[in-house]
Amino acid sequence: MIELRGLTKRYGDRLAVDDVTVTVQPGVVTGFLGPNGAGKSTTMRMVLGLDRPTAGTALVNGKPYAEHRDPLRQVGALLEARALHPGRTARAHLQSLAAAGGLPRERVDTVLELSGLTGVAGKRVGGFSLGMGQRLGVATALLGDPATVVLDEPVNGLDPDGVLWIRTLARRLAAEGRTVFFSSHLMAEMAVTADHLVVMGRGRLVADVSTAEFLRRAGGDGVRVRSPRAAELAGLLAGPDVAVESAEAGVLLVRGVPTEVIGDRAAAAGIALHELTAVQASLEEAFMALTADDREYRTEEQPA
Amino acid sequence: MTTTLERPPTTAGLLRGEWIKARSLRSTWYVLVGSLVGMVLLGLLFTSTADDGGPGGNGGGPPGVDFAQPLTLALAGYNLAQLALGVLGVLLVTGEYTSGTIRSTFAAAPRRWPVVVAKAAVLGGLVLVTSAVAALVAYAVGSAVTDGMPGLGEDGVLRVVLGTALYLTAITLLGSALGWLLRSTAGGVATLFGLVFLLPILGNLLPADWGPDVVRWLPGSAGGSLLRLTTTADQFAPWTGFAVLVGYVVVGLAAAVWRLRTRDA
Repeated sequence: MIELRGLTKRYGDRLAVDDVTVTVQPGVVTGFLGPNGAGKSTTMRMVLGLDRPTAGTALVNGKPYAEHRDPLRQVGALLEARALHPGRTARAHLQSLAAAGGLPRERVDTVLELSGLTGVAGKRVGGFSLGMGQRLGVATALLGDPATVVLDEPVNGLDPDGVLWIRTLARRLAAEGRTVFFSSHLMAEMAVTADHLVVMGRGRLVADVSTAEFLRRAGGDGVRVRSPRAAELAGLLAGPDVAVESAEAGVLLVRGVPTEVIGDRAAAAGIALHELTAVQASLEEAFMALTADDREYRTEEQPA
Repeated sequence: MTTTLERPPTTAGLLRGEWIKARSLRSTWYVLVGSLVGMVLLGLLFTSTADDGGPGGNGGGPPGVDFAQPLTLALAGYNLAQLALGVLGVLLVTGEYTSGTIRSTFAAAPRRWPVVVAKAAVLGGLVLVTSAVAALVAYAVGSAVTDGMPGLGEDGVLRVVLGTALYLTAITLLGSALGWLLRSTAGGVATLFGLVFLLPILGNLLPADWGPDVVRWLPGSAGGSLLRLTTTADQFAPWTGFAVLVGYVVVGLAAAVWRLRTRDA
């Protein structure tokens, strides 16, 4: 479990993390979303005790990271791609950390196997592809068999095979009762992997909700209607709690009216429909809506 | 989740971790073997040519360095070795910052200061052993090719030979401290060379009545006293001078520990 209480980090005039209070629960995969510069990495570094908070606290499994006597068993982290010395072999990298962290030697072989790197364990990291480096980073995070796993952009640079591996791994770790907290800017990946979302924008917490709730809250589902008499139909559908947008001529995006009702009303008025499709809001759209500033967010309230 | 009752991270584990890190980089071995071979070969070159009107023949060289003394000639390669070893000291620290492994290192040892100590202990041990071997071999080779070499039992000779190893170890650790403080390879190397090589030269341009009082406090000059059979009035006594150099190292490492406490990694 990760508990952030009023966590704040200031660099000069800039508030990188602004009074963030959130709890990341064990047993589920929690996605950490936000545009570049939103403060995700800084937050993760404060969780690991690498950066010192300006104010507030970050607790992992009940204590500040640095106060754990067995830190690598508490938290495993992948903080940035390729934080590896190019001249060292994958095995030596893991062995040195296992020794320093008081972990049994067998863990090195276990995580090499788990990340599919056993065959290249004796090779110098400098010759690794981005994807192999990323796998070694994940292996490093899992070295201590930690109760909490923190991964910053783990799927960056991975091929489809690797992306699937991370997804399966994250789900399995959560199913084992661990806390899994991972960031990504790939929304589609988040939608299929994360059960819960923590969203940051410009250093502030924007949302702390389940993935399903996040999608619903950001506008929910809509219906795409194509008709030669679209403008006329829009007038028929107008009402409280109904939003009708028209991005192109003859096409409407209707929210707040089910497909059946739209079809029936069109038929009653003798309006021909060329398309009537239920569409689900994408995570991208939801994210854009939530992280846009207030004025942009209000478009929903203006009927087209 | 397996709950294994393993020992918590220990000093021994930290030392072993740093040892694995140092030995798994080829640069460590290149520098150590290069310094050893370089010291022996340069000693051989200087001692074997001394009788043919080499540097010892005309009494040249910087003031205070007796090039007529075969012992000094046999160990003169230390000048080159300190360059390479000092860079190694800087590099083993800054390499962690440039590659980003420092974050994994501190994640494993969040109190941070034990890492500074463990790194210094492992590197210091490696360099001490290597340069002691290098100095003894250089002395033996020098003794074989020149007639005037004083015996190991003579006054101060063993102190100079093993003192060379102590001096090189201290310079390496000074490099390590600068690496922690500056986090930049270029900055650390430049500062180390400035302190050890450049400042003594500039110091020689100072007025004669107070210049030497400044110069002898510089790390290289102070520590260098340990490598002289006889010291002049302008220089510290051998062990006093070495204590001054050790003082620089201790202050440097303490400053590094203090900086690491508050700084973001």
